[in-house]
Amino acid sequence: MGWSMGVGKGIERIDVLQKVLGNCLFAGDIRMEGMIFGVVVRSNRPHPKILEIDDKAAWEVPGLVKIITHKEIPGRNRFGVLRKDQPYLAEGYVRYLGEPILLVVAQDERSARRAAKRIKVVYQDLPIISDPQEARMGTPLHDGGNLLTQKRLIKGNWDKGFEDSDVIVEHHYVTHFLDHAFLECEAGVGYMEEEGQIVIISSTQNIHYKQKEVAALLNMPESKIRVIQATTGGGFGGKLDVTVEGYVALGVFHTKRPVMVRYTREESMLSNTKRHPLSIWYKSGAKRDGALTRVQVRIVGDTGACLLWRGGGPEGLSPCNRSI
Amino acid sequence: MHRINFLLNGKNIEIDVEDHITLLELLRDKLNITSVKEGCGIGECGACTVLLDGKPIYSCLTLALKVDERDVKTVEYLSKDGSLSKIQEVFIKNGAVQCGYCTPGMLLCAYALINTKKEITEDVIKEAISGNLCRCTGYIQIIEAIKDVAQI
Amino acid sequence: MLPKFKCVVPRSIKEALTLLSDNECKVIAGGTDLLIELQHQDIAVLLVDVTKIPELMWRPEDRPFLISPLYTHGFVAGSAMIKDTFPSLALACSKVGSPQIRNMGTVGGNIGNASPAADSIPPLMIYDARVRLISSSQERELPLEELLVDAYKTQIRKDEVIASVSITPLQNYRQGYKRLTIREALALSRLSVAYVIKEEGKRWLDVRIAIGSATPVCIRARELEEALSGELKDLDLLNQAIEQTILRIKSQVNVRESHRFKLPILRNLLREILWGGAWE
Repeated sequence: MGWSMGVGKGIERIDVLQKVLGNCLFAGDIRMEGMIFGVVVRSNRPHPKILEIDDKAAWEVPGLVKIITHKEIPGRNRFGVLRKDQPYLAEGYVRYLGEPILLVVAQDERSARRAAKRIKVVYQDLPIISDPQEARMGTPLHDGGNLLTQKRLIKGNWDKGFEDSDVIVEHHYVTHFLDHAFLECEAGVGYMEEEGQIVIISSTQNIHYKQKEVAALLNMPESKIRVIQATTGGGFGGKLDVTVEGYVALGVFHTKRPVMVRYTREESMLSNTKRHPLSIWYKSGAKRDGALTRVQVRIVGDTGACLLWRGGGPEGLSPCNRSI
Repeated sequence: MHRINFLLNGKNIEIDVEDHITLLELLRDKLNITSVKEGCGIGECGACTVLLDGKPIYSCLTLALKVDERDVKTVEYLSKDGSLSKIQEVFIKNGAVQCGYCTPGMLLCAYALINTKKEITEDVIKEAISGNLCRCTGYIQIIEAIKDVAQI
Repeated sequence: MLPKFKCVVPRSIKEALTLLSDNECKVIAGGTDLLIELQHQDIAVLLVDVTKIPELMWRPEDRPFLISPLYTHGFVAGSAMIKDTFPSLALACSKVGSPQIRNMGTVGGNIGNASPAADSIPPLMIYDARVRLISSSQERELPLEELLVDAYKTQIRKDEVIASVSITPLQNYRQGYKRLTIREALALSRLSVAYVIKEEGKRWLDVRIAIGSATPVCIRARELEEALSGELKDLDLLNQAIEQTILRIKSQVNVRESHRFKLPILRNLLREILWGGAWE
């Protein structure tokens, strides 16, 4: 009668005791001997070419251990669930405000953040497209063009107009980027085991996908990468994409030491994937009694700079277009 | 640098703190009390809530040196004698814990409320946790848990 | 993360004032505004924590009409004496931020920060608040209205500290505080009105209104106060007086997007406060 054991019964979460005692470890709570700290340096321009990176001032901060750019990436500098189109670290140009450019690793968080602030990047702004409609006609920023996908859904007599309608309502609606705003911001700790295996403990909703991505990033076999989900403080879909795991992995790979990367709320909101904003043209026709006669909808979704599950940064450059 | 002397969960602590360190940093990084969380860093989410002289405050907006000669309590205090407090039991019983990140802060606000002489109503409970965000439960179970322990 | 800085905690007013006159300092009380501000700065600054200065702290019972700058919003909101004597102030302080903010943030800090949306300021204004400032060389007293110069700017000099705020109680007045916010807690006032009104039968005897978050500095609606005080209650008179206030607000502030919703709401708020129920 195993199936009746849970149905209709109140069952305690297996970790609820630790949670009310306060002793469960979220990724940011983990402390390891010799642990050092990584901070991602991000672009403060939406779409520039990177002309020069000057890290001299950063190296004056005592405690700086390593600076990692895309050149130090041993494997594939691209990740993404549906398409591998997002760089971990920018290669020569930036596609969205907040795109990571390099990773700074230092003895402690304060030194890492200080050093990160001192990195000087020389940008040359390129013209930006931030409207999906414009992007349809604009310069392709992605292989295969800026149009991600287009779907048509047609039912019924689509060549009949609104003649049968007693009432027609037509509006243009707009929805916004939405952040998941999980209470615990992204965080992860990684370390290297004796045989060279890299273990990453992070705030995440999935582990197998991230194991594959990190293996590809480091050009290491999947059997040498282990991803463990720490107690996670909310995800709601926003921790399905690779967040800190790649940077933790790079830090560990290059320093051989335990590395923590954790985002502040500002970093989280800047870097996290968002729900697509949609532009919706909606025309409905109905009879007086409320029966709908015809509905005509055109929705243009802004996928942002890159794809992932839904999109990358806040500046939309590659649109998703659906027509009904 | 300040040498501060304060009560932490009933025990006397004497420690040197740098002037610019927040109470949150002191608790998490120097004293390894990681039950106190950072959710926003600007006093808007309540995950960093601790009790100062019995009253809830945001530890992320409090300089560590300010707790000199004062009484600080974190969620560990609730079970300091080795068993669960009533408030922790009702949180479990009422399903008020999901991801657990807001839980320490919520428990402390509830604990502080129960220990005041205030008459407790549902509105009073809502006000007591109005400085604490929860992104998982929708608050209903947390309010029910506190009503449970207040027996209303 | 906060930048590195030094913080001193003087144990006497003399010690504090000497520090302020000898150094470039920032005064810190609760710190709930200041610490956020400092997060965005890199410059080294000397903080002077004034919360342990005994000369700045007293019980309401001992000095009934003198507000200590170190009273937290929570203390003011919970003090039976202040709720009784200055209900508009107690109510306003009970709305600041959240319980956690109210347990640290002080009235002195609220005034010193001089946010256009500060909740304690409109009530203090209608109680004719006078602020005493002290430095190591002098003492002076200013009406709160004069002390506040612009958004986030006051007349407080670098070597001065708010020593006390004196306010005048009113008997037999209807007193309150209304504010417009996007949510019930952790919200800045988008518009606020502190009011004390003395009425007798069909006549307004004394009307005092302070409006916050509509202009860079909180204002007393003096044209409205003068138009109504002593007059028989009349809706046309009220509406005209309200328009005078609206005009003055518009003249003080260049085109403000938020006025598109604030001013119509202000009209209705003032009518509700002064006329009650249905006014149409």
